[in-house]
Amino acid sequence: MALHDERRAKLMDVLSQNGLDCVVLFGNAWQNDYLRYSTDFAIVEGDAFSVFHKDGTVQLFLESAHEADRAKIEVPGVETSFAPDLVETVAQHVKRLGNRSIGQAPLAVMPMGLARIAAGSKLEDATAAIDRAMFIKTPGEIEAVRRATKMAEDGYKVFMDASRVGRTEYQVIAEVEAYFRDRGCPENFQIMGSGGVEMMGMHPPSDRKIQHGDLVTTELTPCVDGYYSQICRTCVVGEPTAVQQKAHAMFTEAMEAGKKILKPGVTAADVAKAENDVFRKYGYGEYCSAKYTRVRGHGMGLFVDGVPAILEDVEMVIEENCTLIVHPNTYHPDVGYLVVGDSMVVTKNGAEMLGSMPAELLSVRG
Amino acid sequence: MRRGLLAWSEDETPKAALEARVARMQAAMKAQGVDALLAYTNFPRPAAVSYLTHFIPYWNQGLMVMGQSGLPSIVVALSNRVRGWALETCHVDDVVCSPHIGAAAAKVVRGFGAVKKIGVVDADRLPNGLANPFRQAFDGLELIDATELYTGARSPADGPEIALTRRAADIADAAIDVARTGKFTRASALISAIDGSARENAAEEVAIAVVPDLAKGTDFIRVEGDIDLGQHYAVRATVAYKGFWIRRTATLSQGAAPDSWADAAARLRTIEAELGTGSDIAAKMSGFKSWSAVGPLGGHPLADLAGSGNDTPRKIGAGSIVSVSLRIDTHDGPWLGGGPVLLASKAGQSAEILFA
Repeated sequence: MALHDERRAKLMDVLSQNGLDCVVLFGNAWQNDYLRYSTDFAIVEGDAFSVFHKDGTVQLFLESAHEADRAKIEVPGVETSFAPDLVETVAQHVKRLGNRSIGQAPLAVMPMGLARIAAGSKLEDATAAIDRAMFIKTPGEIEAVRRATKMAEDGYKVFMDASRVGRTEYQVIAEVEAYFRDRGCPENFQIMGSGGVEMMGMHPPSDRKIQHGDLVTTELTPCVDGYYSQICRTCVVGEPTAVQQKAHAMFTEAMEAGKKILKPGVTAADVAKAENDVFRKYGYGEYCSAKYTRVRGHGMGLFVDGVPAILEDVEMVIEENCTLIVHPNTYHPDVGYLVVGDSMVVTKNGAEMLGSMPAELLSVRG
Repeated sequence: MRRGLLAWSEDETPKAALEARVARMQAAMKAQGVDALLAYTNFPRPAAVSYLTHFIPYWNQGLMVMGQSGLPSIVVALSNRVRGWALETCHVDDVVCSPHIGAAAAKVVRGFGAVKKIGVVDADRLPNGLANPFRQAFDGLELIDATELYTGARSPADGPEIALTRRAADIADAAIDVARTGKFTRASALISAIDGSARENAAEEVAIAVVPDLAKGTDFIRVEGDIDLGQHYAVRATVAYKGFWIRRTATLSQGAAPDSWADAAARLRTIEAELGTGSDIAAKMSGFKSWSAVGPLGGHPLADLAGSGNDTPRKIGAGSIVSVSLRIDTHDGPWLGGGPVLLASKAGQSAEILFA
């Protein structure tokens, strides 16, 4: 079964189980997952809505004429409309659906004009139900994430080669992006850092030039068939020092602890605690706090930063066939911000690493 | 996500230029009795906020809040660890990092004093979850759409906007030249060359669509995987530099370009120059069955302003910058072209072509 057919079947189940006649989904290039799940269309510009019906038919409304033209070619099974007054058009469409049971998602970013103009329509929050459908992956989805992981590992080699003394951060990423485009990969989430102990985190590429002795960090997240997978690695420009090696060993131990505990039934908090306990054991517990780090991993799929956030206060239960990354990335006072992370799929009794790249502190010619 | 260069250079965008833009908005706010201005930003919709502050979120979402005086503030749903980065890349009173940006932004607005009317750029697009904290924080609050207020105070383009747009166009031209001089039989290799060139030259963003074979159709697609290129094909490069966006369209050939293409390119330049202030763009483009003009509208950096098939054209400001694309049918088949143009500020003047 094709990926889109798998997703359509799951979405029809969601509507059936929740007594919905249709669901209104919103998205754009940032929050594209609901649109892609329902239509298979990868939006690049502007905002869009899809309306997915319980019989599996779907309509797509796009505010960009170019995007609407493209959608007609790329997703011919979807009824596509150019809607320059997007919210007004969709709200009127919802009003015409009358007293049917209508879901909407994702509620957090749903434009307020929809509720204003379609006042009186019965719009229920369907976010949790659809999130759960997207959280548990089909075999086809897992294969897509696996292919994206391979792409990420290949891309990381390009990143290392590009991290040459004198190159700016944005030029380093330019080489990675060109590589991904050549491989037919249209999208990537990537932040990076370069430097030493002054480096408190990662960010979009700046015009800072790579220098000898830098730690160069990245989380690199290509998208294959709409699915993201991530790899986090750190390399040193020149030979790693003993201090850098020792710090990296602690991060790797923490990552492996998180990976080891992963299985259906554990919570995101359990995974985070396993990672953070390693830092505490070595006296670096404070570097697991929000002051120094954001999350200790996260879900991945059609959205690059999906649920659950791996944090000690997140009690969401991990389930079989979810895909996520375990990454104890944080600041280390002796070396700077350091990253290491592997993408995983949760299996019946544990978890499987989706890639094969060793979690070593890497070195590039200085 | 945005993964090109995101950096603020005061040489390119002086503080004074940003403050002048803010002052124009604040004058319009005072004239219309708007106590505070609210603008939403995320990376697909960053234009309103980046124009006033230079802030561009590489990921996630944020709000800009601005009173009738003083610099705006940014409230963004990024980790506090990147606050330093945010402060380095924009000119604002403050950057607040919070997962609850609606509530945090409402708190900033409370500091403005008595607020009864808040103008929201692209009001209908504001996420529900961000509007509610304002309604809860202010009794009897009036949330009005301020898109026209914002748009009216945005044109004509100022010096930095023109210079940065010109740079975006230069980046696109250089990338198209790489495509023109290379030998490409696969779309992925072509896109790689264009994308790589643009990012190497400091593009903030680049998005490429292609018509793989003009003998089979003229529809642009986003390539996910690969596809063979025909003898004649077309490229649409959307490029941003430091917050300003352009769209460049070019028709390319595996071999020597047919002579008729030079005539088509000359016609494109003529018609773009003749757009003048852009006030009657639809009439001037009526001879083309397929055309479009895109430019900033509220938070959208390249919204559809006018075009064939667009029944709801937007008002185009004199002295603003738009990217025009069109199709010309030559005796060698369809030719697609386009690029950015600086519209005239006064009637009777020619528009200025911003691409090579």
